[in-house]
Amino acid sequence: MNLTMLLNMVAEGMPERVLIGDAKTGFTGAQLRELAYGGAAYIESRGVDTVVFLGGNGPGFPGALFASAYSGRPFLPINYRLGDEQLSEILARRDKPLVITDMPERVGDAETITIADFMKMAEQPASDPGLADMDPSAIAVLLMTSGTTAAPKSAVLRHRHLMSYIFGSVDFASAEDSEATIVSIPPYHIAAVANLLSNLYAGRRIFYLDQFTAEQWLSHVRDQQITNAMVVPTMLVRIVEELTKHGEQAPASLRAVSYGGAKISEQVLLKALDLFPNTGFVNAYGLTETASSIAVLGPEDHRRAWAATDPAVRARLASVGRALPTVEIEVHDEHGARTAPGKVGDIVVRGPQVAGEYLEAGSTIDSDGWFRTRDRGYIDAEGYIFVQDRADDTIIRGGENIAPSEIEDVLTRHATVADCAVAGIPDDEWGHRIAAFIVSAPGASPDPEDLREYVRSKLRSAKTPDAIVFVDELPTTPTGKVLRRDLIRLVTQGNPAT
Amino acid sequence: MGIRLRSQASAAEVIVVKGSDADVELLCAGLAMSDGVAGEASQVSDGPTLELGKRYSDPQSGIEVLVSKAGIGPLSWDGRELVQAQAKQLPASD
Repeated sequence: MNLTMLLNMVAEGMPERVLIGDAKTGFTGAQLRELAYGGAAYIESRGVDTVVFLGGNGPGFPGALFASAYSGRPFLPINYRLGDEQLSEILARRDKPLVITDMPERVGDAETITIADFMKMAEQPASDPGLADMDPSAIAVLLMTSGTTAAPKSAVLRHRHLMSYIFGSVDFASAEDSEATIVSIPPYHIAAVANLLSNLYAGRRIFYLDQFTAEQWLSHVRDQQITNAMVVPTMLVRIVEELTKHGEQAPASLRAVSYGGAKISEQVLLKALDLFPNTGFVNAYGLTETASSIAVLGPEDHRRAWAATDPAVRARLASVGRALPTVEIEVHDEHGARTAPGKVGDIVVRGPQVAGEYLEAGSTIDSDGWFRTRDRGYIDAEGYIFVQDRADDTIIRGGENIAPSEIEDVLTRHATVADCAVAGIPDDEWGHRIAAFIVSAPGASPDPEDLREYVRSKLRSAKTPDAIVFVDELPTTPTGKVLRRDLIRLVTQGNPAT
Repeated sequence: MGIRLRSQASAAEVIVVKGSDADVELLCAGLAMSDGVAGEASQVSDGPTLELGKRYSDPQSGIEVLVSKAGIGPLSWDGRELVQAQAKQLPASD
């Protein structure tokens, strides 16, 4: 099993289909393979040990990824938004990398080639250099994850993890040749890697939009007759705003939109379901360490929940759906035992696509094969999974464990609150004090005491925020995950609390 | 799991998606498949075509293979012909 097999099947089984870029001027699978062959020969000639990609979305990304596979080297896409120091530190971990980049000035001593020069290799006819490492346990891709400590870890994805995921969730050439997807997810994110492999294997053309704006996204969806899209929740918010601004519904060509990467607000989802009446929505839950999706809430699940009068079914709109058939997902208590349905605990997963490994720390999979996602949540009686909080975000106040999401869910329902995040502030007496960071609804001026009383009336006084802090917006990562440590710093670095 | 097997009688190649510990060989057009060099590709002209990208399984043992190169079959395991698996009903999550 090797990623090269995937491209071989695509180049042989669907040679004429344009799969990367514009419908008229883009690359076919066969052309992508030629580029990868040429790229692989170049990589071999430079004697490097890793292929690093430092750039935005575009055909360079699939080219570099497959060239790495045909050359038998691991592929490491890096976030170009990282500071110089972090970037140097990550590059220094590799002995002899080749950096394919449109910003070569940023990589110090490391060997570089521009993306443009690399792409020129597509112009020379080439053949398979025969260097692919056919051991299914060879490393295919490395991705940097940021943990709660300062230094990012190198998550390891071996060929067998990625291939298990693809073979387990996609049928070869299952897309019609009119299908096309638009991608604005950055190339250093697992979702972009999985997206590339899935869509190529299915035969669905991939159109890259590097700098996302809702206006450009909608414009390209129309021009390119896009049928599928993958977005993070913040993009969906902007797309919904743009459509609402113009009093429009979503383009008719869109058959399916999948979202994930961070929590989505129910209001945004409901508005989207309204503005995209002919589109199937898919919520995908997965991690870098699990080679992307392990659970999906599909279009039928969305429709049934939206239309439901039974609150238990309706609640599933906030779930991430059910486990994919090729993995097992459970919720465990602190002793490692399965919890009862509805009871909150640690979400764990096992299956052939679960890598759960870092270069720096080795495998983190336990003796029963379980990988701890470090997400807290529960599973309902029908197997629908609800993700609540990161375990690391748990507030421990006076010895009691408090889930931020429980308080956030209450506060978001208050009419004066547009968005909020709750975090524990280190405190000598209590362990943590509870701080709620509030983004006010437009035109509203919430009273902190009103908000505290509101929470007290719904939950117990122990879960009432000690401090209310107003912010213009919540700081997030590019994929929309709230950066609680930045919010905590607002309080610990001496700003007024209320 | 993950091994690529080549037919010794036709052009077909498969990847093992779900394997088995049993000491049984996978046959293609009557000859054992090999994880080494492929056989002469055109020894058989008669038989069902194994289509590129299709999955075949033996429900009894649970073994499942995916055709990575089309060729003439059939595939058999322990005396039983493998059946084509149904297309997946999963929504695209990527």
